[in-house]
Amino acid sequence: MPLSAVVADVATGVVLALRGGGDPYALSRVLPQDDPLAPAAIRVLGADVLAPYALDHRSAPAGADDETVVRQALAAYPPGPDASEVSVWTYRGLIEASRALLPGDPGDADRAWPQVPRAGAAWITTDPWPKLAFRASQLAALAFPGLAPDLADGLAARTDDLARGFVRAVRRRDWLQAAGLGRWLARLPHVPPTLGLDSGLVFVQQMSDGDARVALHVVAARQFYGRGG
Amino acid sequence: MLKDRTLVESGTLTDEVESLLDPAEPEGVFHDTRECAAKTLLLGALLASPPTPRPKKTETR
Amino acid sequence: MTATADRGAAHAAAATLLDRMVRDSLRWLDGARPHFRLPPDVATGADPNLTLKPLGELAELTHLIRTSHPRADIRAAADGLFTFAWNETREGELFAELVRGEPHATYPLEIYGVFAYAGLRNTAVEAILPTTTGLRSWRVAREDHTRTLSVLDAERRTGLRQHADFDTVLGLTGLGLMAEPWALDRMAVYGITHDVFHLTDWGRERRRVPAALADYLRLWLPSWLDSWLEEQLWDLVGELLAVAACLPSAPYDPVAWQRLAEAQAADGSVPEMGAAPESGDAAEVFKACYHSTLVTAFAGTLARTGLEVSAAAEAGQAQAVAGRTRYKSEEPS
Repeated sequence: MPLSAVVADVATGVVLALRGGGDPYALSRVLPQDDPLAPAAIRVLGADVLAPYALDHRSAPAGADDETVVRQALAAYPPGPDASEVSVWTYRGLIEASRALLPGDPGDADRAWPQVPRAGAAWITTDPWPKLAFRASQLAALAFPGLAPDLADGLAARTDDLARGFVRAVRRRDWLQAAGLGRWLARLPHVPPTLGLDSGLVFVQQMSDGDARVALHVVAARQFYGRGG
Repeated sequence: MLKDRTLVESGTLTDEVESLLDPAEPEGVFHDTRECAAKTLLLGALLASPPTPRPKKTETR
Repeated sequence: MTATADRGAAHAAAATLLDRMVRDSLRWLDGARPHFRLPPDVATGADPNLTLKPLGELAELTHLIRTSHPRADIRAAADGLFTFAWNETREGELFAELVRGEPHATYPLEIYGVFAYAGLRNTAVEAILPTTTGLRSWRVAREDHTRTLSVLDAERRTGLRQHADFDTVLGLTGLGLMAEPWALDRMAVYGITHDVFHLTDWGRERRRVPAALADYLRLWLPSWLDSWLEEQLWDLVGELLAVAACLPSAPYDPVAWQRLAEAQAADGSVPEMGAAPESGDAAEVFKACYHSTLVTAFAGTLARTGLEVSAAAEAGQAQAVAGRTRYKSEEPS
């Protein structure tokens, strides 16, 4: 199974948990067992694999299995010296979410979470809006309550530009980008009302025809920020 | 041996993870509403309707 | 350099670019007069979309240019084309024939209205129009509300009673409804550009754009421009740039203008879409280019007169300059 398919499967598990159907969520249960792709899929989806733990009633408390597999992902796929900004930011997001939502133990060197790496932030103010929007959409897993507050503040100053990016992404039928931007906009204050964000999120999900990662952004926008109807 | 293979594999997997995290932006796909295709030339909306078939002027008969 | 000096240099560069584009467009349009000429069967067999529509657009847009461009040579070139268009209609005689041939069609009035607005009248047309436009059937709702705005404009320009309330009809259009900016197909965006042209009298009355609609357009124009630049649909790019220049603050987008400038060929023509046509058939080239070339001249004129407004807006004193008095200060020579 290619990594992208594993990622989609895990995303589907997260979506179901966020929607509240079925058994309480456990990350270790939505991962393929003993599969080297499991940590890779966690790294790709980042903080989102822990999203259901942020909704108490949708999950059992996170267990030691989850902690182990997330540690594996963080250890196996740290951003390299030439890593993209997106890679660094998503890595940070996974660490921050792990600290907040997994057991861990800061007093125990073996069970402490890694230090968050420094991530460049100049692009948030300098990127032209189409580039900014695309990059923000790749970081949509950080549009998560309490995560990356500085990033959210920086993006809030460019809400109109992100909204323009949403329009551009829908025009280009780039549903994943549109959904990621819609999710950020759901988190930010002062989204232009004429954007039609709520119907836009629903539209994007319908148009994407079942894409699990699109569905994940849309359900996150609804469950965490009440947008998207 | 096994260890080497694992290293190679995890090397490609690392690349794959990076490329899924930070893919190039896809090419835009532009489909337009099909019934519009014939009307795109029309500015002024001056004559936005198709030309009506016109009978010959009676005085020329 | 100070910020003010920077702005001054950018303003001068923009003016130079716009003037060159408008001048080149008009030069090409002037050379295309044979293709704008109306055939003898214009009121009977000829396809109006290939005859009257190009001539009507030529009249509408050159009238705007001849009355508002700050440069006298450009006004004179536009004036020559406008007079040519009026002469092609045999000083309006044609419209009486068209109305008798198609009494329920709106386009004869819509095109005649351009000339009437400029003070060019024809007594036979004036005698017949009140009859055809006074019917209850004339007031039956049309399929396209944007088109109805065009008819209402023509009625106003011709001095006829408007058959419906402009603002009510505007409220039914893409602009009036402020349609979701991501939910617009190509025709819907063309519709919005024309809603703006009718609302502002083709850019003459920037202040007629209500604040909410101006805000809507200011927010979403960059997205639409980006999209249709990517599709290289140059006439729509030109129309969107014209719309920007119709706004009270007339925002100027140097990147989009540069892209449109690069699409303009050395002979001044601007293709409808993509690269310039390779056809050696002059009629084909005309069909592929006349519209975008006219739009470029029109948009370039509005953006040019808008430069003062946008500079003032940047300097935080838009209110002082954005009014219609300044805009209309340039009268035809």
